[in-house]
Amino acid sequence: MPEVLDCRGMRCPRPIVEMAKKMKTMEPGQTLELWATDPVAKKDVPAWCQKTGNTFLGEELGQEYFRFLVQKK
Amino acid sequence: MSQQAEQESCGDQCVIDLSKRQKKVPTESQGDGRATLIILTQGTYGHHDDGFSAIQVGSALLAEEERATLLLLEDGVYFASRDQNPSSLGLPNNLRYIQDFLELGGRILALDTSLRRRGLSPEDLVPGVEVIPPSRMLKEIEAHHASVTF
Repeated sequence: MPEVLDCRGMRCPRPIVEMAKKMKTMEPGQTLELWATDPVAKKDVPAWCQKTGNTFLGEELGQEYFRFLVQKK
Repeated sequence: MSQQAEQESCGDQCVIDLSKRQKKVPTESQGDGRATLIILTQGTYGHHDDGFSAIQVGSALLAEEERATLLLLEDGVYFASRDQNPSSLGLPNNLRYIQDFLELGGRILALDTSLRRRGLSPEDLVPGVEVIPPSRMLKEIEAHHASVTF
C-alpha cells in the first residue's frame, strides 16, 4: 500500500515541498500517492521526479482531485 | 579604527569593494549543487507577499534538491521573530514555512547589525537562525551561484 499525502487545497509550490519532506521519511522503493487539486501539480510532479531521480509512476484524474504515484529512488 | 572594525560597525549599510572581490569559485561546503542566496529586506507581515514569496522560493529550491540560503537584512530580520502571531491579521503564520525550510536543509542567516539596530537579540529569533556579522555576509554572497532579493 502506498503512503498517502493529502495536498488538496494547497497551491504551488506547497505540494512539491510537502512531497519532498514526506520522501525524507520514506525508504527507497516505497511508493507515495499524492493527492492534489492544484492543476499546476500535473506539470510539477513529473518535473520534480525527473529532476530528483525519483520515479513517476503515473497519475489518475478523479472528479475532484488528481492522484499521483511516485516511487522513491 | 581597523578595516575589519569599520565593517563590523557599518550598520545596515554594507559596501562591497569590487577590487577585492576574487573570482567566484565553488567552496567545499557548497558541494556540487547549485546554491541560491535569497535576500529578504522587508518586515514580516507589513510586507507579507515579500517574506512569504521569499521562503516559498527557497523551499521550492530545496525540494528540488538544490541549495538555498535565506539572508535576512534590515527589516527582513523581523521575518524570523520567534513569537510572531499574525492571527489577528487573518494571515498564515510564517513559522510553519520557516520550519519547513529548515527541515529541508535550508540555512537562515540574520545580519547582527540589523538585529541590534532594531533592539533584537539572537534569542528573539526562531531557533536555527544563524546570526552573522557583515564580513561574513560578503563571504556568503561570494559562495553562492545566484542571488535574488525580495
